[in-house]
Amino acid sequence: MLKFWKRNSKGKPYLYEEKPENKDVSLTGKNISTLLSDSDDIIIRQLYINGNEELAITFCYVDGLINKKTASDDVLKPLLQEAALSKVQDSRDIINLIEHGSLYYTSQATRDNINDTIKDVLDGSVALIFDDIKQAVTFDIKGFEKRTIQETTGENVIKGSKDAFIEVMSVNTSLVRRKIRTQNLKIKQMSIGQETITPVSVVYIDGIANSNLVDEVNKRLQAINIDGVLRSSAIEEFIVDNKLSAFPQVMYTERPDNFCSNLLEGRVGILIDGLPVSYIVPGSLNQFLHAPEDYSSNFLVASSITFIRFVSVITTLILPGFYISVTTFHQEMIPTELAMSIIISKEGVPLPTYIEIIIMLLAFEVLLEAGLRMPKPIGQAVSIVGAVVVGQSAVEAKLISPVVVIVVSFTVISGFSMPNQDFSNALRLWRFIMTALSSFAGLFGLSLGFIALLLHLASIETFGVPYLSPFAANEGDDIEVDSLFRMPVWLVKKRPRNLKTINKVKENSNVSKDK
Amino acid sequence: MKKVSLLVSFLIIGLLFNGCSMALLPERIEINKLNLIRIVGIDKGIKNPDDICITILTKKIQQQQSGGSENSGQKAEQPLILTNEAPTLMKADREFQTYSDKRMFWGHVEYLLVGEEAAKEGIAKYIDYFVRDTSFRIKANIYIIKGTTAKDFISQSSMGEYYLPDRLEALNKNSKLLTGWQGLELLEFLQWLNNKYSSAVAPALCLKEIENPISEDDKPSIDVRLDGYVIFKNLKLVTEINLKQERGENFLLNKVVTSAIQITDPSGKMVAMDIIDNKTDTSPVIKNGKLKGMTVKVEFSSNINEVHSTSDIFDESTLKYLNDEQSKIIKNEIEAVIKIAKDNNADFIDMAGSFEMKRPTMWKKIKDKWDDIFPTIPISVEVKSKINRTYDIIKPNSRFWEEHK
Repeated sequence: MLKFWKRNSKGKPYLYEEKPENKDVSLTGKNISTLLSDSDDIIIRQLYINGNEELAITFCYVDGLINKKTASDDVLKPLLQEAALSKVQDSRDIINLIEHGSLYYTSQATRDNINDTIKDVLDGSVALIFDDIKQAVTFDIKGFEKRTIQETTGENVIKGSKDAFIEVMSVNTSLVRRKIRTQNLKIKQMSIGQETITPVSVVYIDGIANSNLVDEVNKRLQAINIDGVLRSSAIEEFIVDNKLSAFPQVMYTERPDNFCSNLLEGRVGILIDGLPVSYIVPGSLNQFLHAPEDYSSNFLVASSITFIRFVSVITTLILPGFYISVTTFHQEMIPTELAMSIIISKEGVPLPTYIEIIIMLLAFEVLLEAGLRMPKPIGQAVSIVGAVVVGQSAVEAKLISPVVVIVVSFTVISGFSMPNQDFSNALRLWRFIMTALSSFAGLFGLSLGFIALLLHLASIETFGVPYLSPFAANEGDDIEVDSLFRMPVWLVKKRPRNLKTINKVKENSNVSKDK
Repeated sequence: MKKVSLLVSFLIIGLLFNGCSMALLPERIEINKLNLIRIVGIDKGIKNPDDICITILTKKIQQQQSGGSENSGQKAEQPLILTNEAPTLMKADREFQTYSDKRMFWGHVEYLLVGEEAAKEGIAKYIDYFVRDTSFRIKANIYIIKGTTAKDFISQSSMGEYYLPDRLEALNKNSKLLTGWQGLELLEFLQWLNNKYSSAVAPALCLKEIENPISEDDKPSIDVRLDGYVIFKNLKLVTEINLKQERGENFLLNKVVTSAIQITDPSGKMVAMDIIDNKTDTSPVIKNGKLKGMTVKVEFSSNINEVHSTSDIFDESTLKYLNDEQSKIIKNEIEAVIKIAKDNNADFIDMAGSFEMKRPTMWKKIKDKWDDIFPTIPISVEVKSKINRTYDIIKPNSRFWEEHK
């Protein structure tokens, strides 16, 4: 089948199938204006070079996508006034002069195909179409409005670089280049999305990242055939291995420094134009429990915090289930004094404990959702209603016992301590499963749920890397490095073994503990 | 999809089974529908001596008052005491259910009190239910009630201001200051009781009337006191050790945590010393392959905590005198306990255990004759002691004033 949009000549599979009406259309200003008709933002003008009516060209661009001043000063003005161009006789000479620097612009391309020309125009270029010789010269003069580089909103930074990715691919790649200056940093671009034609870049460091991993990422990206890439799910959900799992298998970050440090570990990054976040593959459970901030603070402090995070995972998953189990099935497990306190707090509450817990968990989820969806000015109302209704009134009205409020609050707060929101969401989902199982069968049910979760996690493998590594792979190797604790940087000599990097040595300085 | 439908059907089955009396799943009961039993008292039947009388004490929790009134919060808690008599404990237990609006819950029993009469008759039938039934905590503490029945003990001691479980917990914790044990767990007692060659010991409690010097009310209140140990031989209570003798037993069992010794110094004033560590080693004396006797070697050290004398007692000769005195006291106490053991032919001083530990092969040969050997075997006691420190004041407090008179 014939393919459309030939961007390079290496024979990659093309995403856009040829439209029959464009097949043999010649490259002329008239044809372009026909093809791009009905779009008022596309400006097409006839110009005479140096006032010579025989040398008519068509000037075409999309309003708003180009920088008009640059277009006027650096393209139009020399074209109409430059002395060197005044002597030329035909279009071929003009193109020749432009290609050799008569117009002061670095990024231009000569096109002899109408489709390429249209693509350049829609991408933010100015096209000069020479009807007589069926050729065009396009100048990349992108000048659309974009956000400036700002601080991250999703990941708080205390000690570290504060810049964050923005929506424009070229800016994002430059942010990465600024941090990793080696020639081995490779940025391979492709387009995904039949209608959106979104540029997507695969970023890796040659000589570190495993070439099989890079090939696999490229293969999976190229296999995506979708109408548009406007949201992350368009890419993420296609490239993950276990497509039915709630757990994230691709890590995302807004921070170029975090992105770069993962590249240095030997992972592969994906940048998508139009999205201010980057993606890193393969993702493993251990990664989602480490915040980039850990590597900016003292290793002892960071280790303690990391350990607390692991405890929080267990807490947020099983605490409601555990509470239901011990208060309705295994009351003998509770110390007598505590049992007395729970009895006092539960006295007069008509609902069974598991209903109380499920109501409270649902109420928190609804409040959370409402807080996200409400416009900011009225968002505060949610927290007031939440605190008053869910917390105080429910307890006072004897609908919910105070201990349940404490248990659920602690559960929810523990869930918020996860550095990765996707991971936190997966835990939220599994928490309900655990709670349901505990309300049927107590600790027996809870254990079943936990075993099911472990089985599920152990069965996931992303891009050939076990999801539970380094806890359940490599025969326990690497478990001491950045798992439950964060080791000092000078002790971590090698890159993660499970990534099978080409260059395995990460650090080789001669550091002694005593100095 | 298959997995998802399996999971969903599992959940539905779980939901449907739930609440059914034939459920595969464990029974669900809300914690506030339970009546947590804290103390159980066991006696011989009062109406019919072949029956068992059981008394339970729970905490009756009053409903919390709601609303914004100043008195909101919890009302005074009152213990609920119930008694029942039946041929078996299980029947008595089931009948209790009909007395209460809540489920009787045995998982929180902390203290098992057995009346003296029941213990004398043979304790096995009175405790079997508690160690066999899975809902009972075998880590509950056991006490033998002296001088009265467990029923009266529970009801009379609950009349005062104390809540009996709290009072017993305090006694348990503080008993180590009087060299007593920190309670005896049912499991440990049972293991001891089931040992064919040695005799079990259990701590005893009694009621004591105390005059209340603060209130003008003439009525004396009743309080709970530790009252030495009782000794079991063949599952029956045979004799007892009083409070003064119990330290000897503790030394023999290597269970002294801390203890006060009071000695009169050469000037006739009192000195109080605190035993801070001890080590007892019991070993058989064997000559020519024959058992000649047992030796108990005790080593302990103490600190001087209180000195009444105004003369300096911290010279070498006085310290030696104090050292010898404390060794003598402990030696006498140990020998007194050994005498009780031999007189009753009840090896509650763990001679059999030490023998088996030190000479396992020889023990196998003589263990069946131990009952005959034990009362006749000579047991020698050697006590070594040391005074560790006298604290920072190395001279008597009042010496300065004596010198400047």
